[in-house]
Amino acid sequence: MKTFFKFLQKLLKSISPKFLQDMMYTCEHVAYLLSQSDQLSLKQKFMLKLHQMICPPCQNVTKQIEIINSKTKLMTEVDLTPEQKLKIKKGHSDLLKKLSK
Amino acid sequence: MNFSSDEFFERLLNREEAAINLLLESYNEQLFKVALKKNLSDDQAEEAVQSTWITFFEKIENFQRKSHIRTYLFGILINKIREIWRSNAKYTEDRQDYLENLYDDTGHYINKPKSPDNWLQSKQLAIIMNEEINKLPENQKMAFLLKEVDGEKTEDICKILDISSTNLGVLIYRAKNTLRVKIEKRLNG
Repeated sequence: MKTFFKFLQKLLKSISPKFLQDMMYTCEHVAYLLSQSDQLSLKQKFMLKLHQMICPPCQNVTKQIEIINSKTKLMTEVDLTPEQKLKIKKGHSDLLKKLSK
Repeated sequence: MNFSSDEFFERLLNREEAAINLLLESYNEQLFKVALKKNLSDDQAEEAVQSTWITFFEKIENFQRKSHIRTYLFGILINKIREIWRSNAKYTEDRQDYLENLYDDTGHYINKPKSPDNWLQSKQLAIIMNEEINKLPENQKMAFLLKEVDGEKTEDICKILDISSTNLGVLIYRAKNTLRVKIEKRLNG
């Protein structure tokens, strides 16, 4: 299966027109775009997919970045403990005394 | 309540208790959570938040109201967090540039990145990620955490960090790819 995909990639690369090959992104450019994936234009998304189809290292980088993104999402929610809530409440009343005239 | 109104701002300038209370109710917990998500301890988060409010009211007369009060408050908090990072050995930056020599002259990888299939099975991944986020250079770490963990808008992050959107893009690129390279090194050998 892997050999078949490699063959397909080579074939795609060899039959793509010269102008398309010239337009192809480099791995460095792909890495940059992957880190800003929520702000890409349609053209950028298309060129990114095209590069990923023929570049196994960038396929791995894509997966790596996806894992980092998904793990980061788990860090977005903070459930406050009762002690932390108490700290906030106490801080609130201390500040109110300190700051108001 | 419209926090951007002249009337509310006037009440804050006069240190009116009800106005201050309203502002604290709206943002005190948010600020605390943001501080916690920057890997601060409870005490450090409390310290950062308290001194944010004090600085906010000390400098309120200088606040030109070009941005929303929330953005201004967050900007102060971010500086307080940076001060804590700098004073704490736990947050020592790793200054090595891991993206140097990653690509050849044509922009392709010199050492091909490996498949991360084993990453998800690793019980260490979350710990490693946390450690490596802590070691990122300060600007990259702050940009990464504000964008990816706090989910702040690009426009607001640029105001808070006083950088352009292009600059922010570069910081996020460098942060994510440094993390990627370092996690790969630790998990794929």
